[in-house]
Amino acid sequence: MNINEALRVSLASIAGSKLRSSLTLLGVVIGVLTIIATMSIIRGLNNLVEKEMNQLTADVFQVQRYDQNINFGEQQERKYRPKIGLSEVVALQENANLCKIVAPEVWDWGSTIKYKNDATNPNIVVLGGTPGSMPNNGYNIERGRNLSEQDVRFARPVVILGYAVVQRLFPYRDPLGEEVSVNGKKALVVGIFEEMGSVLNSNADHRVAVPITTFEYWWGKERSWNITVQVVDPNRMEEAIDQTVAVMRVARGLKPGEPNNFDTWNSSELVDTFNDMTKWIKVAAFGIAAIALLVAGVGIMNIMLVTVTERTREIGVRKALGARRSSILSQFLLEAVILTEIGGVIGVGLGIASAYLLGGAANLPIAVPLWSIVVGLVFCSVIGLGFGTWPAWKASRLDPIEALRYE
Amino acid sequence: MSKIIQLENISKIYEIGDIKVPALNGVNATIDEGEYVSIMGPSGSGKSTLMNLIGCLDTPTSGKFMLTGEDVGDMTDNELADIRNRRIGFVFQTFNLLPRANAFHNVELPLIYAGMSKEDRKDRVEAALEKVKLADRMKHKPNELSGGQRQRVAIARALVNKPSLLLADEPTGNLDSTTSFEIMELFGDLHQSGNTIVVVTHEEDIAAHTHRVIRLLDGRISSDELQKPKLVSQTAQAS
Ligand SMILES: Nc1ncnc2c1ncn2[C@@H]1O[C@H](COP(=O)(O)OP(=O)(O)OP(=O)(O)O)[C@@H](O)[C@H]1O
Ligand SMILES: [Mg+2]
Repeated sequence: MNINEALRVSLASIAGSKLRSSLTLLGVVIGVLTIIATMSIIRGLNNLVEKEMNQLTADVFQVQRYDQNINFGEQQERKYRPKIGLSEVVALQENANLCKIVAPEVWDWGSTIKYKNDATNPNIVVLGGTPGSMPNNGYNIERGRNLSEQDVRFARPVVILGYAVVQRLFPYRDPLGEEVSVNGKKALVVGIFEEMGSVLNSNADHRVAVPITTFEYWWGKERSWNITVQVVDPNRMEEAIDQTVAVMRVARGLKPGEPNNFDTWNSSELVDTFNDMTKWIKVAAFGIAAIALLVAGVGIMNIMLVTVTERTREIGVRKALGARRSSILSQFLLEAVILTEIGGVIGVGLGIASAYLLGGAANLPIAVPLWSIVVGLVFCSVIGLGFGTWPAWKASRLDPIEALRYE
Repeated sequence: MSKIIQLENISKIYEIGDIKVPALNGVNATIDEGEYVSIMGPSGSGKSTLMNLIGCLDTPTSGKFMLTGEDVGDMTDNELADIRNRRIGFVFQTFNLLPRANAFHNVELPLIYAGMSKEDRKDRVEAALEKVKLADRMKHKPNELSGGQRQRVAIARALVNKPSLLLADEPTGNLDSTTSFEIMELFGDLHQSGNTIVVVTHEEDIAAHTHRVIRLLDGRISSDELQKPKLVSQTAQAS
């Protein structure tokens, strides 16, 4: 059966029953829309995470007190974990020869920076670190200098400002050499970070860095340190992590057989974590899509059965003119697929549109994965074929003379 | 002349619940190539039933039907479809055109099922519509045509695949007398150019144009006579 013919006939039959067709197609549209929109948003986030991962430099991993992936069974045990501090850093610097830069860091997530009468919102992230913290986190100094060993040793009140902080407090002035206050504590601006752009909606430019010793002087010593480690050879990341774990266990006095009371993770795990998180969203999206498409499939079957009944005479005429059963079967199958695909194409369009709308509203980058379009449209064809088979088979089996006599 | 239709003891019995309705009851007849035959008889005598059997749209309950020497009873569904497509042109009382398709497309259908290429189809369809004098109505849908024009489209469709046998079941039943004569004139021409034609009709006027009249009564042949056909023009003048 030729495609043009089937296309024309199905468009005509859709046009002939707009309401019924659009109600049926709604399910298809929703199903495909869900797939496309969800996958586009997740892919957009994924791209972002991967971008950040690249920024975070692939040759760095991190040692931290608590597990990256929260495991509910172990919550009790986690409370008693000793903090990570200077002794572990020193142990790693001395004994882990696969680690090039070992840099401890602590964070504060809501500080206000003031300059004269100007103040930022209380949303500035303060990094307490060492000179190595900057390369390990992928922060580049645009002007001025990095923190120095002396800054750390003497807990000097010096600060490196993020781009957004500079924009806010020093619109007309060079901040280098100026004195600002970080949460009320005076500090000398010695450097400025390069602009980083927004990462995952938390603005990476709203950030300042001070020596870790200064940080502890201001905020106290309660916080456990994270240790970022740049490895000697990125190809030997696994080995370096194993070595680090061994050194950490000794430094923390763990006996053989005792579980680690710290966790290590590297930026590729960020992607794993992300995929873990989004896996269920994807499953849910496919679930919704599958249900919508199944419901739509029943609708398609219904509409096709009605079509076959309505067009019984036409089928009789076609048979009288020499149509074989197979021609009738393929005509109605093709019509079912075309009908479903019309919904599918609308779904793809609306899916892309709503992904961009949502993305725009939430300030997220959107990337429409080609495979999601292919999967969506293939799903439609499968649904069309699956649910169109019975009506088409019925049509093909009609007795020509009875079909012609049908009123 | 070679036999195109051979009917041997054909019966067709419809069963409605427990009641058996014999629509045809032992019909024997032979029609040769090139004949122009009319089938007559009162309503319910089995004319349409017989035509549908000859047209391979239906199968007899018993008896043997040979089409150009081949036993139709032995044929598969696909073979029957191909015979309807290539060897038989069927014209119905109610035209049976596809309402949403234009004249061209209606006439094109048998060629699509014959698997003919698009260019060839175009030539054939145009020639067929030319023959029924509807070349200027190709883009018209059935509801944009008069009854006579619709039936001419149906005739073009029946002829387009150059069948050896043209069957018409009361082709003028829904037409006024003037239009009926136009159609009969067309049939006369088709017969002149070598087509075998079997036409069912109620009207003696129409049957008068044919060479042979088979009369049915209660599913049996009551008479089967050759006659000298009237010319269409004579009838038209007489009426
Ligand atoms: N599908 C059917 N089911 C049951 N009985 C049928 C069926 N088709 C025809 N019949 C019966 O078979 C007999 C012959 O019908 P048929 O249609 O062949 O008559 P006809 O000669 O064509 O009549 P008309 O001139 O009115 O068209 C009738 O008694 C009719 O009731
Ligand atoms: Mg009849």
